[in-house]
Amino acid sequence: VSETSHVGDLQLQLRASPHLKAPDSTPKIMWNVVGSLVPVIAAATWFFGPSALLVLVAATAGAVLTERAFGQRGSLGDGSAAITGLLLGLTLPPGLPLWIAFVGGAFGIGFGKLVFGGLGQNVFNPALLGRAFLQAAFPAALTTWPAATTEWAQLRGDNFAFPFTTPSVDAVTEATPLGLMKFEATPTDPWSLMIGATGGSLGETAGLLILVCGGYLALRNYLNWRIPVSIFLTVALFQGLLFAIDSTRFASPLFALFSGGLILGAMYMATDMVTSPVTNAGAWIFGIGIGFLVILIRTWGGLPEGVMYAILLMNALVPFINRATQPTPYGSPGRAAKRAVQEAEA
Amino acid sequence: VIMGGPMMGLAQKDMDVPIIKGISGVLALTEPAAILEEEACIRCGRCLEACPMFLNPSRIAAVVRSEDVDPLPGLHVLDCFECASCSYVCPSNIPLSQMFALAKAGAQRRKQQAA
Repeated sequence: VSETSHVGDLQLQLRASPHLKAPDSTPKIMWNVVGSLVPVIAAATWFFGPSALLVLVAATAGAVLTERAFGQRGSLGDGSAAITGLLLGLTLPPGLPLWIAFVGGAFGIGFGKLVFGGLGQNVFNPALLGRAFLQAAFPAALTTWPAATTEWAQLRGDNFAFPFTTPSVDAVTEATPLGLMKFEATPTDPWSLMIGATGGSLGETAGLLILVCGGYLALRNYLNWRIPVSIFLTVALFQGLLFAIDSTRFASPLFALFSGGLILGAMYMATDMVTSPVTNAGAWIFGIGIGFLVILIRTWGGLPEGVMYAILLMNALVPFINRATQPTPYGSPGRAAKRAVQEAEA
Repeated sequence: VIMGGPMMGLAQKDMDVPIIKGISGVLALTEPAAILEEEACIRCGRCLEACPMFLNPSRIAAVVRSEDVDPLPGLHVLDCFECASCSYVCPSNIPLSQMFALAKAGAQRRKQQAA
């Protein structure tokens, strides 16, 4: 794209236009996402102790090493494998054996991204695919939520279990707020959900913090704000309708918004540029679809949490959303004009 | 040294080029522009937002790469006037507008052959 021409002692660089370039680059976007996750990781460590860091490191190592081993040369530098590993780690319970987290990261990158041809080609969010695989392969380990302990430095659960052994430590467990709501119809106070003092996966508890970090990305245009906004609005309206019908059976909209992985999913998973629609109209449709599916699965499905499957399902629909929301080129005849042409011909 | 503006101007090979009345400006950029490595399209959709003709640059580029010319008229590639806004915003440094110039030249050639 570039060569140099010499005229006298002048050196002229020849290259194709444009001669200026917007300052954002793909690696810059990706590393900014990683940076914005740092406060979330810190919060996870604050609530769940060193176990949180161990699980995150294991999941990220699985993702990064797989990208290194099988990915294209130099593709580590764009940071997308690190994001996949961190996001996967944030959806896992703190007491998870580390080898499971590692396998999840490796599966997410290997089968979620590399088999499709690497960055930009994957249909599904690799982090969520890794989690879906773990959920199917190790359902018990993935739904063991250690109870809060008073000792911060104590490991939560059996992090160092050898592969395929049964846990040697009987971890004290507690139900997540969504599990309590679904199976015992006990809502949790929304305020403790917002600040994160509940059981759950590493990164899903501190709702307000994730909102702030995601908001930073939205301000810098590193994520499309229409996706989280439409998800939140749909969840609030749909759940509000259910709550208005029967407030004893259904959870309040505030509980629905701040419980489980909804905020993490809406801010970080659904907005993955590769697996979300390219058009803004498509982004609205995508978000509304996720919001509906989340409430459908949470309320009438067999699982307490539906964010993961809701996003994966909508990921599969993205090519169709893109096709349906193609922009209309400037100067194209509108519907009325087309009809007029048809009538004139007839 | 560039004839024209920074977005669409042509880099000049030597200094013996006359200034004619259609030239809007002459730019002399002193910093040699960094040669940017092209990366994979991450479907961020910024080129769609940038395009003043409301085309879909990322889709057209994928079609041009696949060397499949049939869908190009349906994607209105001939409406592109190579303003290079898409190339400017692309975070993966994909030479979008050059690819469209190529596609347009190809379309013209096929049209002449058909005639």
